[in-house]
Amino acid sequence: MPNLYLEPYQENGQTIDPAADIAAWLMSKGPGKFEGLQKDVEGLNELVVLYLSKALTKSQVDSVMKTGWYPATDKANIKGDEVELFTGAEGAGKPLSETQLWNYVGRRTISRYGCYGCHDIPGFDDARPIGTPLQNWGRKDKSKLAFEHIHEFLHHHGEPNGGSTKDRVDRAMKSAKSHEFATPEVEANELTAAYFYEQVMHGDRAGFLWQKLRAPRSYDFKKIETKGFDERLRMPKFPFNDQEIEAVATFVLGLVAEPPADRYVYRPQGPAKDRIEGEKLLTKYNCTGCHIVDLPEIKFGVNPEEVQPSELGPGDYTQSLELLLKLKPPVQGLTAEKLKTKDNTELSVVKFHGMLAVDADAEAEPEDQEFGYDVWETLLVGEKLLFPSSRLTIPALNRVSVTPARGGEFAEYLVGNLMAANREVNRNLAWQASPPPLYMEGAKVKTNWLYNFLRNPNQIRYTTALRMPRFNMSDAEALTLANYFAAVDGAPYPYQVNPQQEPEYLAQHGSGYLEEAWKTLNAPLCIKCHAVGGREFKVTDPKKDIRGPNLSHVPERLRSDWLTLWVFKPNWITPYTSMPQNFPKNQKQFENLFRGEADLQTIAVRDALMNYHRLLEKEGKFVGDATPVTPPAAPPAN
Amino acid sequence: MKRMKNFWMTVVLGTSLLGCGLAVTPGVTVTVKTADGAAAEEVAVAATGETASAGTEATATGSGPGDLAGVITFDGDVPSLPLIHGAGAQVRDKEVCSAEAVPDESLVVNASTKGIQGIFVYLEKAPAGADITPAEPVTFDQKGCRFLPHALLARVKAPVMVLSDDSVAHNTHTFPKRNGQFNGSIPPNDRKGTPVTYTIAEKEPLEVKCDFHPWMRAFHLPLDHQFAAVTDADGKFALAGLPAGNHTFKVWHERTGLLERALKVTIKPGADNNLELKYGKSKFGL
Repeated sequence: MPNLYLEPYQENGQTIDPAADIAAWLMSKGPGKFEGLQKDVEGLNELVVLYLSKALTKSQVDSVMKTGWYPATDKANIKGDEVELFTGAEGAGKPLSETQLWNYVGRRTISRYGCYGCHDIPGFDDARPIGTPLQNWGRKDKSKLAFEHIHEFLHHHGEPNGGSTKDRVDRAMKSAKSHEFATPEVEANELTAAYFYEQVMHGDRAGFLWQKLRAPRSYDFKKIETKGFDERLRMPKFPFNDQEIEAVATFVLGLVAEPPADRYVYRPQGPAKDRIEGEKLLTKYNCTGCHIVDLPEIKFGVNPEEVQPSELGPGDYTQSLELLLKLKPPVQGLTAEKLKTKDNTELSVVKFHGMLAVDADAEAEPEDQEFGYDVWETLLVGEKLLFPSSRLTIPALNRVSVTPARGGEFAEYLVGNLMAANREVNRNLAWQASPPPLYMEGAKVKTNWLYNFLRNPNQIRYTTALRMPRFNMSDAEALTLANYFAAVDGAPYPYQVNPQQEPEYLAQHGSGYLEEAWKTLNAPLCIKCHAVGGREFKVTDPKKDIRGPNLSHVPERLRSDWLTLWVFKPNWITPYTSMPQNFPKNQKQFENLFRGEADLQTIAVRDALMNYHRLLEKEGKFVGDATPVTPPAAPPAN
Repeated sequence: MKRMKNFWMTVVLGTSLLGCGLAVTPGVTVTVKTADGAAAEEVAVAATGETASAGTEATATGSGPGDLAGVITFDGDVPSLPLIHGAGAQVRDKEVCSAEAVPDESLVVNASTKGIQGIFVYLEKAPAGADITPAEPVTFDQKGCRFLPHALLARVKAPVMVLSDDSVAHNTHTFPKRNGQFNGSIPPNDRKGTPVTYTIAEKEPLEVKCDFHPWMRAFHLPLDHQFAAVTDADGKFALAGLPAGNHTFKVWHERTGLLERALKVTIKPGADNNLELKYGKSKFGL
């Protein structure tokens, strides 16, 4: 269980102890009571007889039911679930109690369905799995595969829509001959299905496994008429898609006693290895329960000629665009797919990664409903470039598909709840209060900082409704996970330098540069939302204030390029952020600092942040006003 | 005739024009624009006097324009909302922001007439055949850490010039549904203004906030026509030059959202079209 940081705190002079509150709430519920079940004693006896007949002769079963004495002198000699029926000499002559019968049937049912495969159940510690052993399954003798009536099943059934798999394969082969598949993806899918179908027809392992994963109990087709209900196949149908079925089948077919030849074994090194190891840790610690690691992918139909490309606005800089294209290289969104509208217009399908910004108005007519999405990547539609944070308004009827995000279900749940609970909380603010997406986390933070943060997560954000718990991960795990994020984004690791701290860099700017930069950072702007320069954040309304992270963490935490783009154009990094563009090109402010030139001020703030501790030590806590504001000029006298 | 469903896309930045091409990556061209150029060129386009296209939903019939005058009043005792903060309150930038008391403007009712201020009454789409007046820039000011006006009508492609009469920095953060967001700081005493241009019409008013001063809220409604009004301090509004015939209005207030999703009004030629609406406290979450 993670450490939830439930430290007591003071509010309005009162001590609030969250741990005590939670304990009191749980205790206030009192012990639960179960209502009695409606019992079918006759059915219970029938089940006991049925199960016992698998272990005893008929006369023994009759005897047990009449005398209540199970034929064993020592409980330790009973290996199966019948241990529940053992009464010893004391119980001889008395019928078995109803409780014993229920316990026996319950235990037998758990054994039969293998519930202990996923759940820890006392008393089943040594129970064996109910499924076929998969060791060496890749070499399993084909004659031992029970294909039963599968040919007939696939001839008439086999598809999720009730259709025939044989017909599907026939169509696929016909299309293959005439090269008439709608898309390359469809072609790959259909020909894969045809291949596996052929394998079934030839009694091959690959085909058997494919069908077993698609419809595990289809091998009982026309068999259940002659089987007892307790003899039917038990493997559940898992929600695998075609790709997953192929992947699992490939894995199981690879389970052979002898190891594969060394040259065929994938032994990744460097970033490839870190990515694999990191994925294991994402699963182990359920990081994706709270955080999005891959953004949703949205596909929609559009006439590419109607797409308006992004343009730099009057407040934007060309150097920030160059940096954007370096950090988020453009991704082509135009696909070969087409969408036909109701009026038979053919639209091109464009895909992109982004987040829902505006939900459709459920009360509007279907043809008037539209979704608003914010693009998070740098998107190309043909040759038209769309910057991150571009708002795409997509008619509901033109939305082709949405592939959900990987991870972040809890964050999305929290966003919905926060918005529902307070009408003044819009989606942007709700996301700021929720676990952040870890999109491009590796390009954002420094590996060493992330390593330390994972070992001991300190508070970064003040707008969040929750704090990240400490997972007590080992040093090696924290290191692996820190490396993982950098590897995913192709960011250099494990070491990063702060180029803005290099003497050569600072020398280029001449003496007094950092001091002036420090004043710019401490001008009455950043302090509106951040603790900076040794000064505390001024709280006005704790429920509404937008408080940014304490800026003292910046030099250890953020990578240089990311920070630069963040200061230049925050919503290109995170479209829902409240951080404004503070030094737009078309504004002149603080004219006593860098002559009021906004681009110089932007770079200066970045450099002051990267030299934060040195400057704080040298300059001390910031006192006074770096840029006293002059009152507005008096209106001219008439 | 139904308007073809278009795909709209707007960019947070794009407000103005200067056509200097910047090659950034093979096959990609970005145009860099300046504020002044944007306003001049875009307004000039609108000033040519467009006519609503035949593709807009035709609701008007009859001949000759008519004017609509209306009043929206509060049904019940006039509510008294507490101040956001009083004069001298310990808030951020208190020298400016609490120099005077800041009222809660989320519901402003005239004590004598019971008229409700700040309600948007508008047509979502221009009536077919209506003459569209040229779009003009509008100003959106800040004084005493309040937005002025609290409810503002804007026109698509004509800039909203964001000004500040305060000696502290603000930021203006818009939360539109169809346009890109704008989020930029506004320097102290900026009387020149920062342009914020909406590129497509919104279906409902959008929230505007200052994240530095969290109580500061206002609402903008950008439209591609002039058939919209905001009620004044007496709850009155007026719309001129509506084509005679049937129209479907939306009535929107910040506490409720849509008070009326489809208010049918028939306009007769001339100026004697009147409308009275009354809403009780339950509509405003009181």
